[in-house]
Amino acid sequence: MKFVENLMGGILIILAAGVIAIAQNAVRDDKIPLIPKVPAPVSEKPYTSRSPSESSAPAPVQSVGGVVPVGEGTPPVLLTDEELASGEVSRERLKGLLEGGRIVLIDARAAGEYETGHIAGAISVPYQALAEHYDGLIQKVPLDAVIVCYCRSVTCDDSENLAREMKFMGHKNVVTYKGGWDEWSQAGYPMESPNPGE
Amino acid sequence: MGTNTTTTLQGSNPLTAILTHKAFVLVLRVFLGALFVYSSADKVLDPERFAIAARAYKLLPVSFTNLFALVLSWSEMLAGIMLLFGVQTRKAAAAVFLLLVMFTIAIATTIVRGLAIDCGCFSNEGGSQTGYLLILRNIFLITASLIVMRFETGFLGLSRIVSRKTGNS
Repeated sequence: MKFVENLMGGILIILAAGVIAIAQNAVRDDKIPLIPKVPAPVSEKPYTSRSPSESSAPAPVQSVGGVVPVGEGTPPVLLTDEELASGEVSRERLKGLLEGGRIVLIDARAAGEYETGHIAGAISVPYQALAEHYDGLIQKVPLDAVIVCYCRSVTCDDSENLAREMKFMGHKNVVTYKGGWDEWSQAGYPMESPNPGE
Repeated sequence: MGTNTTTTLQGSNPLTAILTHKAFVLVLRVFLGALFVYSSADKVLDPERFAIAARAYKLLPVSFTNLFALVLSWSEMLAGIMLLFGVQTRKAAAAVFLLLVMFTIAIATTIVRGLAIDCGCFSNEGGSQTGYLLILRNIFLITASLIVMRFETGFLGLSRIVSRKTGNS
């Protein structure tokens, strides 16, 4: 009976901690919403990237959720041990990866920057608004997918932060493209923009 | 004769004598308390990242994960502090026991479901993947919490010191 009594006491401590947690969260500057906002369609695009040659074609709807398992229909793309160890890929390597098979290319910049122009085939998951995308990322990106994150240039760290979060979620093959949008666009490599003439 | 019998019975199982010794229980209590305070500090400071770890388990609807992360991180902190200072120690050990059982079940489900995720056990930086070793470690911690819950005597605990001072004055 003493055991049950102690367990009840333990439950009371957890309940008390809950009250403290909610009160402390309410007064902190960087409080988190008690119920996170989870938009139903997490992205207009499916959580997959297309090769630049496909970029003018409509996004393929291959399976539930729009996710194309790595290797389906195209040769599997694998990162080298060196790339996984360093956690990054070069511009040429990224171009090769996009041409060689299906990867998940993630633009970690703000949504506005993405809409202005982005690497062909990239999906938008702004690191600063990551909470809104968790559900989609967890449910739709396979854990064994090759994921490349990028942001504006070598000076930004949103891509690295996003890559770290993806690894934390259990994704193994995550790297960053440090050169980012600036380097890619200056090289004139395949891009997508709602207004290509601008 | 009676004294001799008692001595013989206690001496017949030295392991039990050690496990239930107040100094050993004190060590376990402080160890568990320090461990829980350490593991919760980062989560209390940055609950959003802890919520990410909780989401990775895919056991709860995403809508509940923030609240879950907040409550859990503070439960660890509160129970840890209470154990460390010896306040309502048995109840604090029970809270730790309940939390550990819940963590262990969650980790076991990831093994069954073939999920290879970071356990989010200590701090937010990660490092330990879910697996059988984590379950073994948790079984050890659960045993420790049960020993504290059962054999804690208040030795060098704040509750006992305060009650003694109140009693003396």
